[in-house]
Amino acid sequence: MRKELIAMILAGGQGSRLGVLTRDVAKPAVQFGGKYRIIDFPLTNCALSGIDTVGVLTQYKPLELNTYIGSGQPWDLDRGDGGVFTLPPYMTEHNGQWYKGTANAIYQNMEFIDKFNPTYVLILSGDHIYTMDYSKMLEHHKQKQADATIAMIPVAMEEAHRFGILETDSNDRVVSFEEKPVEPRSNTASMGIYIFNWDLLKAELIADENDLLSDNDFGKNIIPKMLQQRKAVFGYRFDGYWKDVGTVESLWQSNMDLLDNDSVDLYNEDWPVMYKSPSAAPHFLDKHCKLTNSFVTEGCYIDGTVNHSVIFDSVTIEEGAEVTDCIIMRGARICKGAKLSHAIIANDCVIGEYATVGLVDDSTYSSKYCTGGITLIGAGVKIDARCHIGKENMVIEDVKGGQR
Amino acid sequence: MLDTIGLIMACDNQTELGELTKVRTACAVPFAGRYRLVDFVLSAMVNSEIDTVGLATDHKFQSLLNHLGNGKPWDLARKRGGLLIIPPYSPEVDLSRDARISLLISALGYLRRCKQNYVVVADSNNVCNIRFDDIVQQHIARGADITVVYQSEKEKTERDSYLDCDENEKVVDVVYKNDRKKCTNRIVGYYVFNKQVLIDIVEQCRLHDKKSFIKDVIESNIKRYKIYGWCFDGYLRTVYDIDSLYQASMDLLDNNCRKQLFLSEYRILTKSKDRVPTRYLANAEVKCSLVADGCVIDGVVENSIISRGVSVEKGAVVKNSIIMPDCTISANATLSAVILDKNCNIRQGKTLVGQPDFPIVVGKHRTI
Repeated sequence: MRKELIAMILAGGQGSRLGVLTRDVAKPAVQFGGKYRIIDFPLTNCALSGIDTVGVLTQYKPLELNTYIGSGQPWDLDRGDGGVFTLPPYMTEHNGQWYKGTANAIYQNMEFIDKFNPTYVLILSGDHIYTMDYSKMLEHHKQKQADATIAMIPVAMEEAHRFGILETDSNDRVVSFEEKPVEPRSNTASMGIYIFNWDLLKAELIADENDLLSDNDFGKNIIPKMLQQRKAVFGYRFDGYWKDVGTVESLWQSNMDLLDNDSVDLYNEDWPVMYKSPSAAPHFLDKHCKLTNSFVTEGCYIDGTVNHSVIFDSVTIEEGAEVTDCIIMRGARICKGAKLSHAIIANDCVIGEYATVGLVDDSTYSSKYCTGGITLIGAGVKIDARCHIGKENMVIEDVKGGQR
Repeated sequence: MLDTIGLIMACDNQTELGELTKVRTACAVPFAGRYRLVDFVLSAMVNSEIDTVGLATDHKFQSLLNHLGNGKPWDLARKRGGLLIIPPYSPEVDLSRDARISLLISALGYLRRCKQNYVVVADSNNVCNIRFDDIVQQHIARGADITVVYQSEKEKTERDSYLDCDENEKVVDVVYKNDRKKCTNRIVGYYVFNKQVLIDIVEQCRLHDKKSFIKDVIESNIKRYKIYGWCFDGYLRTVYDIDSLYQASMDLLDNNCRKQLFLSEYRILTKSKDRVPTRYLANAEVKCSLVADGCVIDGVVENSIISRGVSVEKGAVVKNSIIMPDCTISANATLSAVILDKNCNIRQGKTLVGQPDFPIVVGKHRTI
């Protein structure tokens, strides 16, 4: 059956600026907001926008992401006709290669897209936190009779150099596009969300692949070339919450945004963000517990003091422990009397009794990935009792007592 | 466990939950914040690697069926086996008869059709984390026809039946509340049958219009079949009435009990609602409470069970209570020893005070 619109999610990126958080998983599989992973947002958006066929292009450390997506059932994307597909690079009879760039990743999967014979293709990236109804964007695309539509959002001028920057005319037609400009001409950024007419995109991808000088990237090559050819490229304005959680600091900040009600609306009954549930018992708060301004989810046991923090499932926080402005991920244990501030504690860490994280000034484990006062403890790391981990440190191996 | 099927008896005749079972059958009553009673027995089946489970039910089963769906949350949406709902055989309910007999008669077709040789027959109103595979293995090893699970209790109660066993755990008698005999092996409502034996017994019950499960299925067959007891020594509580529901809920606040129920490697599974994590605001003061996801808490909560999607506003106080899903406790309201069914709304400043041995029960969708 011919599909009107199918979605392709680019989920192959490493997200190296997330440091140890992406040592073992691709960035879209990074956890967020107590129960979610980043990929839940585009997958939920697809499902609720009525898109029933989604390709997820994976490359870097795909095991956890593949396992998580599974049959697509948590997003109602286990379909007989369509559904969710993970698409890693593959060998052919002649050769095979990694995905060279975002455009090349789609180029290598043209056969997959053709199988559904869609009129339009939606290109998404798997590393942003936002909720968006893509069907409205498609309407806009059709109404403008566009060849391509780029979702766009205003960003702070001083941040603009990190994005693809657009200029549009009064009719929302894109007049210029520059990827990561040194001197941005506006503060209107591309969100990395594109709708293309498939026939046209296919031709562009083939031409781009034949251009040996191309980086095979949507922002750097495909879009500028279409503008050059005076194709009808339009912008679609989005004014909701949208965050690129590319760095340790922005990941921490976007979790804190949730606590401060300055984020996506997780309580919108018409747009519930869907996820694969770990299924644990409700959390238990014991008699010494003091818990304020925080998110807590299933399977946790809390007997300590927690303020302004996001606590993922199955976390234990013992009596006398103090956790402030932190993100504590699945299965971590904060022992008696430990004190943590402005930290991200990854899965299954153990912070020993009376240890501290993010309180003292110390640079033993300092890291370029940790900025803005945030300390990061990698998955499975054990910090022995009474050890002190300084601010803006990143710990990737166990810390034994007596070292610091 | 390939040679074993499950049969869950989802009926009400042993439970008196009043307001809570007005619109639903007992095993669909919400429990422990995010579960329903049926989840415990269903999870036990799955954890025992029983992947063919029949669930026989007789009336008020709408919310039960909504909950079960196709069985996917328990991994029971299968091509081979899986969850099979057995609705009532005939619309006429014989009130003089133990509903369990009627359910077994309805299930005869299912029992005959399955090729497996053993059946775990289970009541649906127990709270426990049990494994049936050990019991089935013991059943086979002993060459038993029927194995009856019991629990050693301190004293006899009014409503239960008890099992008198010899030194080999072979059942010699069933003891009732009025019997003089001293026996505290309480029958908990889990049984293993050789399937053909069960079919024969149920056929007999149908032919001779037998009325009572314990008497006609177990007791009257003690001489004819080899019936053994099997002692379960973990945490188990049967929910018969408001009092036992309240007690079972308060048990959840005990670390040891919660550990046995929920922290075993065998999980209690349920239908996920994809709720948001629970949000605690600036004025939250919560102690000794079990709280499910999707709540917003800005008040005081102590010794209570707070289910999914509940909101406790600033200044509200909830103590010793069970709050079922999607209730709202408005600002400055006070609840003590109260059971609120789903979707109740306690208006600003209202006070409801029950006693732990006599909690106040408020039915679904009520506003106070």
